[in-house]
Amino acid sequence: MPRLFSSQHRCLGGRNRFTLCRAISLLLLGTLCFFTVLQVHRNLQTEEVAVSAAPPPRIFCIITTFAYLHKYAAMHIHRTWAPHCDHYLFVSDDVDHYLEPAVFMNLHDKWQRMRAHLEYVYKYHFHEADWFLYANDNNFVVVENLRYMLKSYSPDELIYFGCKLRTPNGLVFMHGGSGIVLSAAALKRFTLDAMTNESICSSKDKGDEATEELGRCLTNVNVIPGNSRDEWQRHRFLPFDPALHLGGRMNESIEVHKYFLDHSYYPVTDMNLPVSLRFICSLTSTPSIIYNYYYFTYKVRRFGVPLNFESGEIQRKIVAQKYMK
Amino acid sequence: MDGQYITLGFERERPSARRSSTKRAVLLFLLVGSLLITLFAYWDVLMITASAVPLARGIDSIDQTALGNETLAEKLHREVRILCWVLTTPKYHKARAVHVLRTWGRRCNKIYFMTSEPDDELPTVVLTKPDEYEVLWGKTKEAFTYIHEHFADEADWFIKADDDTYVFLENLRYMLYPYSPSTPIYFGFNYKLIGSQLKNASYMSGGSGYVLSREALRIFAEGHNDSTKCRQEDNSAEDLEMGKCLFNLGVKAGDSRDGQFRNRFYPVGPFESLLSGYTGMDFWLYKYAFYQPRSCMDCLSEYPVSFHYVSNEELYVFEYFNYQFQLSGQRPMVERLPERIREEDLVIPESDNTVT
Repeated sequence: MPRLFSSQHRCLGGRNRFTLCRAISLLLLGTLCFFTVLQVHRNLQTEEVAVSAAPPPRIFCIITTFAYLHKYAAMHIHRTWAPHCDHYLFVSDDVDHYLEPAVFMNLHDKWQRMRAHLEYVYKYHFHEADWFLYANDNNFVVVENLRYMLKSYSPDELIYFGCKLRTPNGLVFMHGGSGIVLSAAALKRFTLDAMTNESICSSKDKGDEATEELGRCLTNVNVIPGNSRDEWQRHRFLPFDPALHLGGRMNESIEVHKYFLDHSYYPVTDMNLPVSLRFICSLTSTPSIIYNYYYFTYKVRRFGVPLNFESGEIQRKIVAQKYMK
Repeated sequence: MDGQYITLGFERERPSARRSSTKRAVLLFLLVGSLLITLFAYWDVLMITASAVPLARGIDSIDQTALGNETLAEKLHREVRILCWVLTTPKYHKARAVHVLRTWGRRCNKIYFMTSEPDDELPTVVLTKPDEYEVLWGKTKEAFTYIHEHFADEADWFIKADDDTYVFLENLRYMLYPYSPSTPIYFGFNYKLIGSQLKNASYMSGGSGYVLSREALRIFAEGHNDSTKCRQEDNSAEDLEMGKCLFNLGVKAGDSRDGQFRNRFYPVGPFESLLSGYTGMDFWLYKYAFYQPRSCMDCLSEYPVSFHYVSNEELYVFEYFNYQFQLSGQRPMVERLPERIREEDLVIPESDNTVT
């Protein structure tokens, strides 16, 4: 008898309907499995990237000030870069509504103050951070760039950073006008071993040589003065205002310039220091100029210009990943 | 006999037909279901591939910075051409003008220094008027006329700046993009123009720079000789006279503030706008400003265009912090071109500064 119905019908109603149907179902199932596996694989991939990044180093900022400078200088730090630290503390000789400083009275010598400040921070705030920045109320600090520099070091290392100077005798210390950054281990060693021992670390008044004494104490307990220049030997801790380093030069007839030129650890060429693209800390000539630097660093954008340090390739990948999620 | 056969066949088919239809329905459902799941999972990939293929879209397309070959800034450099000119004098060629050229000047499509002598390093235009403060207005008129005669085709917008002004060219192009160069309009920091007939009129600060459209330049160049409209003598403040002249000639004084009404041009340095209390209310700027002058941490635009009283060293400080300095951990931001504004839709807010 002739077949009056098409093979399509036959496949569903006929003898081979199970086989073909099963084949199609298996095919669909297989495709679904494949897609699921692909999705899971992709999720795993992105997770891998996230896990490998270590947590950023925590920074505790100590900002020294005085009562007569609270409103004039310290207040501007409080309003601009200090909140970028993980924690910050003002140390002063009197109270203040906004700054809420830790008050140390009757310390008329800079070295005595420094000892008291560092000991206090070790006692009360040591657990809060991995690195401790000791700065003044006339410093402008870019904390994010400090985190970036410290990423390649461990807080368990005995190391400290700043604008490196040396005495004619070969003692290495940091410039007091720019910030000084101590690792947690260095702060602990300083407070427990150096400060308690008169032969390692003097407790007498030192006047202008406060940071020299700090350098001596730290060297005596094997804390290394680190290299804070970037990979192109440009400086990240600057002793003077950026305007001087970027647009002018140092002058031997100015006392503070002469002091720096005589004591600089690194060679100074052409009466100036090259400034790193990821600069961290500098002095500021007037307190209000901090608002300019803060505005340029964190607020100003140039329309249509991609960020410098990411090449076009990486930029595309970042945006593509954003879409992938 | 056939009918019988057919009937039998038909009867035989009916139950399996029902089974086949349900089977077919299930199959169809599975197929559609898996298609939907695939579509859902790979929607993002589809979007990526779609936007990567260049479509025939208009200029106002979405962000091209990452996916295109040209950055937005480069695109604007081509499409919004700016000609900058800076008033200077031979005494300050090497002391000041050269630093302008080395910092922001090289970002203009064209830059010319209006002076009385040529220079080996600077692209100069030698004017006939002497370099004296008293004839600044005369120099300005001559400079704009010269530019209109010789360089009108080289650019769409023409900005005048001082040698102690710092201009952010990319942000200037971003600000000017919505406007057409054939609109008679000019921008800058708006000051109140005080005079009997000139109600609610404004003029732009010369120090922080003002930028004219090509049409405004043409109107000025052709109309400034009219003594009823523009001051014919060469003395008097050039920005004030420019403002009066352009107002009389019918050129609109635009509002250069950003979408949140924050200033883009500022006639002094940034911190004076950012630090409230740095000056008291007797500060001259608060009295002359056309729009309500508030100082606060967030009172300047993220895309500033210019600042005044920038010393030589500060020119390099601005240049370093805004063009070279790198901040770690900064996330790239997706930027979009703004919408174009049609001339008939243009609304310029009235003065609201009540400080006297």
